[in-house]
Amino acid sequence: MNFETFKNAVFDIAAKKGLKNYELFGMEQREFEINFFEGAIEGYKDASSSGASFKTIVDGKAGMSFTEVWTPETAEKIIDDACENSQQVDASDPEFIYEGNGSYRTFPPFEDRYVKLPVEEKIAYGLEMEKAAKAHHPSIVNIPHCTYFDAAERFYVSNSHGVHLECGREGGGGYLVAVASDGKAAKTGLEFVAQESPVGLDFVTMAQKAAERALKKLGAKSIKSGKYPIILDYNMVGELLSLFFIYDQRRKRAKRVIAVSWKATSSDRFSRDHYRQRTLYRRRNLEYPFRC
Amino acid sequence: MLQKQEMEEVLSILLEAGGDFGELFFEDTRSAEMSMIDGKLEKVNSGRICGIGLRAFLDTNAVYAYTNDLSIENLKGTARRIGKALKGLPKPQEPFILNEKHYETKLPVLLPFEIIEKREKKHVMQMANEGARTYAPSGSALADLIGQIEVSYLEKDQYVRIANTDAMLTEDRRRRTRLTTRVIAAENGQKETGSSSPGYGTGFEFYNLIDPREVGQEAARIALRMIRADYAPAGMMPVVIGNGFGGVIFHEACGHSLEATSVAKGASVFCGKVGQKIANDCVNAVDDGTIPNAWGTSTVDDEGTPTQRNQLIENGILKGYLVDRLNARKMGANPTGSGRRENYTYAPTSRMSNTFLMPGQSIPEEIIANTERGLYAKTMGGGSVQPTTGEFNFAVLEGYLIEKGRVVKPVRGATLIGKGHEVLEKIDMIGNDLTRSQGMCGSISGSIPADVGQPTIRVSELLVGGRNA
Repeated sequence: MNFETFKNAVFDIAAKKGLKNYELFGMEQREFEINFFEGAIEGYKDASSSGASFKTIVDGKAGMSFTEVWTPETAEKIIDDACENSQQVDASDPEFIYEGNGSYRTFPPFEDRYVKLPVEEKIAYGLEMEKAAKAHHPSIVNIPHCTYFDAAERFYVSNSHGVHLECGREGGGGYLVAVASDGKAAKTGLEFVAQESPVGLDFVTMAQKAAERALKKLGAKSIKSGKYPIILDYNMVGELLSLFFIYDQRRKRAKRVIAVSWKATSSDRFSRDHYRQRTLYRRRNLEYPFRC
Repeated sequence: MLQKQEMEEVLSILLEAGGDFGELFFEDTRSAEMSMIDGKLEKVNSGRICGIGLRAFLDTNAVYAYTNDLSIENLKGTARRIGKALKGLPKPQEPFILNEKHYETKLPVLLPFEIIEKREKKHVMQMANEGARTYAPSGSALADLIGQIEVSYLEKDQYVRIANTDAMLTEDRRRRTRLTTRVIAAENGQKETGSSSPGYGTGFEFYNLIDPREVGQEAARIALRMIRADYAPAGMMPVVIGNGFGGVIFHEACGHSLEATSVAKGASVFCGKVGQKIANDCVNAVDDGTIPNAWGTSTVDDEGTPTQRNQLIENGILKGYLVDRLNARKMGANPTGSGRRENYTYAPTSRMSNTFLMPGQSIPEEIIANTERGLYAKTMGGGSVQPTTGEFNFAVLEGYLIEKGRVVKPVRGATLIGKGHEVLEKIDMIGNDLTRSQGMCGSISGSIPADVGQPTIRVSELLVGGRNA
């Protein structure tokens, strides 16, 4: 069952149950990744998935549920679950289903530029970056992480107030961790590159930067504890800002730099609420009390 | 759900396409999350994820795919596609038969989540909120300092069915629940946080075993104790680390370096050190995925290997690593039941389950009494570690200054800074009060439940970050 069919099933059931305010968010994802180690492919991932979340407002309270199984049975189940969930909520903040206003800017649909890249070319990128990092300096002794990745997402939102939108985005890149050693201590350096189009991706420079980061740390000594003025470079500022996000993998952080293309299928504006639903559908943990 | 015969067909294709080993991981998981702020339930979300991961090896190379289009046509097509990526020689396969293996569950459940109404779950959260709100007597100065109370409830019911070309077919059902309370105390523009997050591999009967009020009280106790504390001193000093969640330092700074994921690549400080002394004689450490109903327990790991108790360190000697199937090939070792993943969208790799330092002989008070001056890190907060070098830093959520063998006052803002392997050598006293605490561990195969634990320990010298030199 595709999203359109599932949406129709959900909307039919919701109408029969007498719901007035509801919204369905759907998502389809594709993910491709190759990991390299010592000149060979160590890991290879080629994946796709889809899912949907449903939100309804009953007596002013919002209930939500999600599913990755698109069948007539689950269409009814997510409605029932969302209704049940809404009955438990105490929050007094007003909830609403966005009706949309104004017109939507339409972007050209994305072109699956990464999908069209031959796998052989992607493998060459990965091998190239690992080689470049190793060749950068004799003190680079290990490349424990060397990855090429690309991904695409398409998401949909439809609601009882006439919003029917879809949007897609794609992107790709790579990241590399280099280990430098002077025989006394080992230090690591990480760098990544990511962009919306594969044209102009510079994996070699990225790999050399990772190696350089590791090399610069060699010979570092502890300083006395105390108060110092600290200069933060732009990467460090980015690192600090990233702490506000749940993402715990740099690969995922890199993936946020991706192209967005929109195709408006109604004259309504995409609301912030839809983004919230999107995260709800994939979010599987409440918290990260400790992270690695 | 995928039938046995369909699994056999897809596995055959993985081998035909060029692999020398194939594996299927089917998952159907239902979960619910509820969050409450200051006694009001703000959000309830529930749902289901369902999909399958396909994996094939050729020697030490691996390919992985996942999908939640479970049609047999799609699965066969995916198997052909990733099998080819291995670039092995295509070879015709004889049909083979999967042998089903059933193991006695290590996560028995009395009260499945689906028979409990959501209002009862909400009631548990209300009790935790009440415990936090009433920790300080109403009208007292301390009661006014509690700014916000956040309570969250999580339940997860994961069913997995795993098959591989060693003709193995097995299944496991993991039900887990957790109650988290976080209290923020505020005074004069300063804020301190206290939290408590017990979890267990059971159904709703967990809330008959614990008092949710005490969960709230513990979070409030920490926040209120710390809000008026002086800032911690800085410098090298002995550090006594409290039991339970104090084990997060061993987990992060040593445990990850014992995972084959980093060992097989030579990216661990413990590479090639099995049989060598890596810690003080008093240090014994295990990873045990078999503890009944523990947070990090499963009957089989996510590769279908039965979980086991793995002795990591014995009397200071490194005894072994945590090994998954793929890295077992690379290292010439046997899998240790440690292949884990968050869900079907991740390929498994070696991970910890319930990891802890074993108890010693000292009573905790004796450890404090034998410390002339130092920091007592009673409760640990979050931190970060660099697995390749073992360098770490961790925040101390609840800390106290020790002077002349006595705990003299609470101190806040302390961080512990060091290298995991160096800390192991400097543990010189181990208490007899082992307990375990629960956390979510993130790594390349996703975020998974893991117990950390230890008795009270003393590190003879550790760098403490603080404000007062």
